[in-house]
Amino acid sequence: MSTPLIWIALPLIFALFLALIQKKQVLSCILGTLFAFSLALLAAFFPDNLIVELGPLSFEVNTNLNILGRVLLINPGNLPFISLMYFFAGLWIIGSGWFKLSNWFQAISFSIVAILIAALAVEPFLYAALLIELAVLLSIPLLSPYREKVSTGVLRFLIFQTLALPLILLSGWMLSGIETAPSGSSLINQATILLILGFTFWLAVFPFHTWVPMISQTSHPWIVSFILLILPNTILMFALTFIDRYTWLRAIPELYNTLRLIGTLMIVIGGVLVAFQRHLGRALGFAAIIETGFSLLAVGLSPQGGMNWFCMLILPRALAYWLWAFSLSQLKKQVDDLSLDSVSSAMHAFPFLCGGIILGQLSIAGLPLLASFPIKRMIWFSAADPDLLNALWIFIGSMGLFIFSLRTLIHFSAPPSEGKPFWKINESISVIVPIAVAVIAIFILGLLPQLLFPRLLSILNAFEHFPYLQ
Amino acid sequence: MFLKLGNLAFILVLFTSFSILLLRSWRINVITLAIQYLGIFFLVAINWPLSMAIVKLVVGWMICAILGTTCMTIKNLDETEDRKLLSSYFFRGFGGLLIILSIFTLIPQVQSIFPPKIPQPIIKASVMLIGIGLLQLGMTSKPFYVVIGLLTILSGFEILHSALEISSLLAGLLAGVNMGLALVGAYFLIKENNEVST
Repeated sequence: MSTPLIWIALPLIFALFLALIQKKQVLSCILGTLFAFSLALLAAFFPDNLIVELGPLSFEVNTNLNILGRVLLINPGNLPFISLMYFFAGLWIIGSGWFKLSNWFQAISFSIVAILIAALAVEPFLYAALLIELAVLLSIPLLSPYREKVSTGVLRFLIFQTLALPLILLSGWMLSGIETAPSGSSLINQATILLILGFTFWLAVFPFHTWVPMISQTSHPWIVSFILLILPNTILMFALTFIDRYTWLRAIPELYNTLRLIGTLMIVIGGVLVAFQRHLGRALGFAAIIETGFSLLAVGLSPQGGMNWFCMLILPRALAYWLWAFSLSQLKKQVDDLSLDSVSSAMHAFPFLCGGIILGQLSIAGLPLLASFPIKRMIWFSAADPDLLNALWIFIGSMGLFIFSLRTLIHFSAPPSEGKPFWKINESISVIVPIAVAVIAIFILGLLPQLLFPRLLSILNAFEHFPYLQ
Repeated sequence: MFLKLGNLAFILVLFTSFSILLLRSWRINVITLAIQYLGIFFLVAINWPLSMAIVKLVVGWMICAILGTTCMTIKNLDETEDRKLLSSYFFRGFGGLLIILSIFTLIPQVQSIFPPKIPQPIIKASVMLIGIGLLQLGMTSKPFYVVIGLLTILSGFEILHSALEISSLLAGLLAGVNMGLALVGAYFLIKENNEVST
């Protein structure tokens, strides 16, 4: 028994099983949720010494699994992030029961999570690029369902994610040479450029961000939110592994400033563009760009403790995406078109759905009392410390989502046309309950940040050499 | 033996990639892609053992088989607007020639990045496939040609990487990625066909 067997091989086998029962959606949904939450709980409470005691029996679980001369390695330090990943998979699989998605959603989402965990576990870790590409390829049938047109956004997503693969693999070859190269070697510059380009493609950094709003407009919000949560977070963890492993990379004097600059750029561009959007789906895509920007900014603020906020941002982000995407997907069932004009006065007919969308947006924007606020507040203050102008730009970017939320609210609450009741709750109790649970969770996280956020810091255990970890 | 065939393989790859860029007929493109994979096999075999290099050829031909059989089931795949326009051929041909010329100019600089032991045909073929593949991606939004463009870029990278590292897992994973791309291409084609017929 080994940790990669439990959290990679077993889920992949289970995904195959889910594929076999894909026509029995309810069963697939229930089993998928239960198994995902079980894996999340197991990862969260697995003993640090990897010795499992079952009554009189006790056995030690290995951390390695050998495949074709290479190793999959999951240390106890990796388990907190794995736990979160399976928790998110469980949340999205359970939510899929409400929507008419592809029958393969449960199986594919499980495979994607398992493959992405394998990407973080493979040694040499540069092979992760290939596994991330496999996860991207698996996500295509979800993002572009059989009966829908192949959108430009999906094609761009495929192109940009695939273009990152050779860049990262080539930089991997260079990195192995850098270990012995003198400082100031041209190899360092070349490898750095390739790495930055590769991650720019992967993380949809400007100007390679265009596919994000495109797919969030054309594909199902539930699937888009899942992909935009799981993929960038894994890639960011992978990026941190680079910084953790390579001393020369950590020694680049402008590394943190560059990350801050890229993060701020993403927040500003995402924020400014989202303020002018007229489609609720596209806004979700821009929100994802802003969130990636905040993660990069948090890493850039490492000397001020930014790594802590990087970890703490993941859970509120997931909850806000879940609430926004769930409410949006339900609204899509009612109105089909998600442009602001089409959802005018929707709040009078679907108050809970509209409330869920607005709260999801405001939580990501960092409104006080909501989940993201305690962390975003720390990021805003810390960003102002080294550079006040930087904080001003972040403020402008953050305001974009607030402005869009306000515009959405104005459209939602427009007076209904004549003959329609002013207020009527059309949502069923089965829709209201999950929204209410998510809203309560967002408020609890916002009001009592000390309750759960410190536990998220254990994600940092995966990094042994990363500087500025507190 | 394969080192001696390197220049021949480069010429083969040059002509096939250029014709894939230029022509808009799925039959010719799939056959040309299959020939291109033969050239790629010769170039990879310079550094890799034959047993591993043959994987590239087998996977490449499987990709062609997947795309070819899918295209066969689709009606009017070649009936695109730009196929009838002579100017589109001229534009693609001119773009391709520019890429080829600039690659010949840039080769010394590119070669200086990599170890001198890497034979020149490998670097030339690799950079050219990547360049032509990128041009292909920039010139079309048709899923079939996008996937061929991506496969061309990956082939270019694989040729170069084969001279840098030998790994069974890497070869296996790259084969998986290539096959996955071909399957995604087939999926897109079937979807488009479904959309046209409904």
